[in-house]
Amino acid sequence: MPARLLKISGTGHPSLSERRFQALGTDCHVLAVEASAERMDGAVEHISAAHRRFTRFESESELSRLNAAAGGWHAISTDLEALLRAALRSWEETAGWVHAGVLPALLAAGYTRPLRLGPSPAHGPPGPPPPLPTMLAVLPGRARLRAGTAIDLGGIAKGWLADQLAGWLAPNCLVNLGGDLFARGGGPDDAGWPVRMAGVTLLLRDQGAATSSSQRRSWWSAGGRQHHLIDPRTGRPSESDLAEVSVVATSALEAEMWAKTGLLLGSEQAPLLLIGRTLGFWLGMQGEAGLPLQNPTRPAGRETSVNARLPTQAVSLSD
Amino acid sequence: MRPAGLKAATTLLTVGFTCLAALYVNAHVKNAAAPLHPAVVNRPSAPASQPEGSLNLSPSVKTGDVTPVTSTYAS
Repeated sequence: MPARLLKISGTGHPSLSERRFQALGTDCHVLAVEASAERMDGAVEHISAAHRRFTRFESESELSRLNAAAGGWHAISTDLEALLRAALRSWEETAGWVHAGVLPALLAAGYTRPLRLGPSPAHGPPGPPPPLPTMLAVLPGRARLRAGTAIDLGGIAKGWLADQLAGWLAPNCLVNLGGDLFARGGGPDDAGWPVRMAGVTLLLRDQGAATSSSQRRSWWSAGGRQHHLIDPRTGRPSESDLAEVSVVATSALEAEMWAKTGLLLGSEQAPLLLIGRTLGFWLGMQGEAGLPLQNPTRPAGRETSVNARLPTQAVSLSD
Repeated sequence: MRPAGLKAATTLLTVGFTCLAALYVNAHVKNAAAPLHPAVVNRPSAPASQPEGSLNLSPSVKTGDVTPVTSTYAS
C-alpha cells in the first residue's frame, strides 16, 4: 500500500519518522522517534498484512474462513487467537456491550461491503446476538463459532493492533489506526505525544485513546439512517442520544472498548461507567452544535459521514 | 390585644413571608453560585476551538498548547 515517509532531522533534536497509509479500511498514521526506515517499513507491512488476514470483506482472509467454518472447530493463527481472546475479554469487561458477534446485524443493516462501494439495501434485523461466550469458543490454535453466527473484529482489531505495534516499533512512538491509537514514550519533545481529541490537545505518554462515532460509517436506506454501531440488545444500529464518545485509557484497546460502550449506553449512564474506568472522556450529543447533521434527503447508498467540524482528514471507508 | 387579633396577625405574617419566599425563590432559580451546579443551569461556554460536549480528564492526562501530530477522529 502507498505510504508517505517524513523524516525530520535537526541538530540537537531527535529524528521523527512518520508514515501515513491506508489499511483496515481507514487512515493509519505511525510516528516514531529515532526509528530506522526498515522499522517503519515493517510497521506498514505488519498492519497491511493484518488487514489482509482480518478483513471480513475478503473471502480468503483468515477471519472469513473462520466465519465460513462456523459450526465446527477451525485452526487459527496465534494472532487471531489473541484477537478472539481480546474480543471475549471485551465482551466480559463491558457486560456484553462490546460484542464481536454483531456481524449478521451489520449485514442486515446494509453494511455488506466497503462503504465506498455503497451500502446494500437494509432488511429486517436478525435480532440480538447470543452472548459471545456461547457462540465463540477458543482453545490454543483453534476456535469454534456456533453454526449460523459470524464475527467482525472491527474496532477490537484496530485497538489491539495499535497496542501490539507500538510495543514492537520503538520505545518512543505513536500508532494511530483509524483513530484508535497508542502513544508510547514521551514524544519528540519528551512532553508527551500531542494528540487532538475533543477540540483540545492532549499530551499522551504510555496511554491509549479512541473515538467512537455514529456520525461516520453511516448511510441512509429505505428503513432510515443506518450506522455501524450495533446495539447488542436489539441487533439494530444504536439509537443512543450520544453521537460521539472519545476516551483516554491505559491502552488503545481499552479506549476503543470504553468509547464504544459509552456511546451505546447514552448520556445518562455513560459518565457513571467511564469515570471509574478511563483516564478521560468526552461525550458529544446527537445534533449538538458543531456535530454534523445527516441529510435525510440524500440519496440512499451515498456515504454521509463527512464531518467538517472535526480535525480529520479524508476518511477512507474501504472496510 | 384580643386573641382573635393575634391569630389574624400571625396568619397574615405567615402568609406574607410565604409569598415573599416564593417570589424570591422563583426569581433566583438559576443561581450560578449554588454549591450544586447542574450543567443545565449555567453551562459554561466552550472555547471556540472546542466542540460542545462534556470533557472529563483525570490528572494523569495532560493538555498542551502545541500543534497535535495526529487525532483520534478517523474511524
